[in-house]
Amino acid sequence: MSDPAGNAADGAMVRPELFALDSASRERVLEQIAAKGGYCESCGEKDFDIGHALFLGFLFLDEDSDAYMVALTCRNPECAKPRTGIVLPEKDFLSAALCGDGSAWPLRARHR
Amino acid sequence: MTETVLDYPAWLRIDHWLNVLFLTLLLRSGIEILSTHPKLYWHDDSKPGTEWARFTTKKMPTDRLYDTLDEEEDYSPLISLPGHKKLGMGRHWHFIAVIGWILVGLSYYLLLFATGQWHRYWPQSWATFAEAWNDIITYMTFNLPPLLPNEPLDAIQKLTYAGVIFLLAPFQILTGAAQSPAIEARFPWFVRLWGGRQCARSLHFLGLVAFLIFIAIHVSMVFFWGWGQLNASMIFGSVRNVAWATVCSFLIIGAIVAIHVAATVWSLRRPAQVRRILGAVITRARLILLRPLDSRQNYPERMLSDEHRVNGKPPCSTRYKVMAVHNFVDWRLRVGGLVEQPATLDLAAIRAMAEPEGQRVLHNCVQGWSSIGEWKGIPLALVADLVRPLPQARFVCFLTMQDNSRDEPSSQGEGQFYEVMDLELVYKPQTILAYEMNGNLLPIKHGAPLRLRVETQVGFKMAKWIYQIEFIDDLRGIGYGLGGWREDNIHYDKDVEI
Repeated sequence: MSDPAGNAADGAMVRPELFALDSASRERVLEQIAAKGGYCESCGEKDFDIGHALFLGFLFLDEDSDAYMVALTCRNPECAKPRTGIVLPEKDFLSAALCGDGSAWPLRARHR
Repeated sequence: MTETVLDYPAWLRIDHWLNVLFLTLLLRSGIEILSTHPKLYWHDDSKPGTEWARFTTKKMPTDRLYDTLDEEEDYSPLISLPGHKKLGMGRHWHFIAVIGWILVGLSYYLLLFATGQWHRYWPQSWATFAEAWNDIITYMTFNLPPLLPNEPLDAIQKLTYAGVIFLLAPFQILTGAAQSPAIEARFPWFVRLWGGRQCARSLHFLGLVAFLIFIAIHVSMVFFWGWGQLNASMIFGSVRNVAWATVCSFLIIGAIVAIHVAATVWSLRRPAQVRRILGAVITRARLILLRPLDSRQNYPERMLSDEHRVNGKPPCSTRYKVMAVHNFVDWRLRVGGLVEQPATLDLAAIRAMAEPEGQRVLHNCVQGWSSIGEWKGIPLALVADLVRPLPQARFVCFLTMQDNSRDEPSSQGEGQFYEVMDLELVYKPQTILAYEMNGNLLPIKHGAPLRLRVETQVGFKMAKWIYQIEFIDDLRGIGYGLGGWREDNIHYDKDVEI
């Protein structure tokens, strides 16, 4: 599993609920951030590294059933709180490879 | 034949009526406990869908995380004590009644053998069994069989009472004890003796059914043989003043019913008071008998449960979700309070403290379900050694990121979840802060990134989603001051070795 945000850089395991996004999905996440005018709450930066995704819809009561959180890491090296996230519905970012053929469902089921 | 006169001495009559009181309290409070997980299994994993009996019609969702709080049933006070999903109260009544029942039972055994009255229950020869069979046939033809010579009972009554007194009652006590996490942790062979934790629970339930059947038949027999005469024997010691004995029998039964009604109303209206008063006795007994037990569990890998039920839902805060999606690199554990050296630790620092300590152990939920899991983490004692508690520290408080107002609609209460335990439990074997479960990182639904494991305690004490640990000398200033969120809001006991 890739670790674009460097969360597992110290050799620690990546938790089982997280899964890596392919490049197409990461690109769609960036498009969503741009479309929504997203920026870092801490420093205002608009550039992010895209990290893992977490399926929220099953685990968290307050989330829609198709909701995910995608890890975002602010690219500003001076940022005091670089780690944040964006909540997106499945259809807005998961690529066809992960979602279109239904392959995201095993990903979900694994984390139940 | 014995020379002992098999009559109705005063101690036997007093014990009989006390037994009625305690046994009925046990039955109703037992049904209350069952109502919080109204499913029975033969396997320790309590896997959903594998129950052999269920006393609920609830259907659980498949597209959302549900927990065992969602599965609780609200039973009527007519059958459960006190009813209405009051597990904390049900446990208090069950344990106080079992203490009373055991004391009555011990006095009964002692006096039975000291006075020779045990002959009334012990078959003189194998012929008693043949006579008992004949008695059954006689009863089935709606006739009454003859009494045994110079005895107050017929053969089937004699054998039935012997079975209830010498087999069923100890069976219930032993299968109940097999459900104590402290006993299971110290003597894993004992729970295996019953076929496992869930077998013990199922057998305990079947024992309850056996008692209900016995009571129904017993009362019917008294009715058919002569309510007034038999109650005269059991109240006055001999057949005299039959009419007055009938009145007295209903007065005694009425008094027992009144005690049940009072216990029910008291529990529903003043649960904190019930908890304080009954808990003073129960806790003392528990600390004397069960607190000294240390966990010595090491279940084989093949016994690990595929699934581990969930009790309590993950924190819904954005902060928690953001930490989770970043693998909890921003999570910190603050350890402070009455310590020499407060510390703030991240996961890497916790992992670096020592080689992980692993344990394959049986998890006991307060509701009755169980599973076997493998947990890895660091001994809590190491964290204590790091911060060095001051001499006045007596308790440890675990603060979690869960807020039941927001995260747990099925809970009866609100506010931040926390738990307090006695300092001595920190130093018990297999008390760890776990960051791994079954070979992987601790799942979110089971308390990620860090949870407590204290294997001699019931599951709710093992706080999940921990972010702060405080060493304290007094728990009264935290929450409602009873030693934890469950203690404050649903009146569970603070010390839960059973």
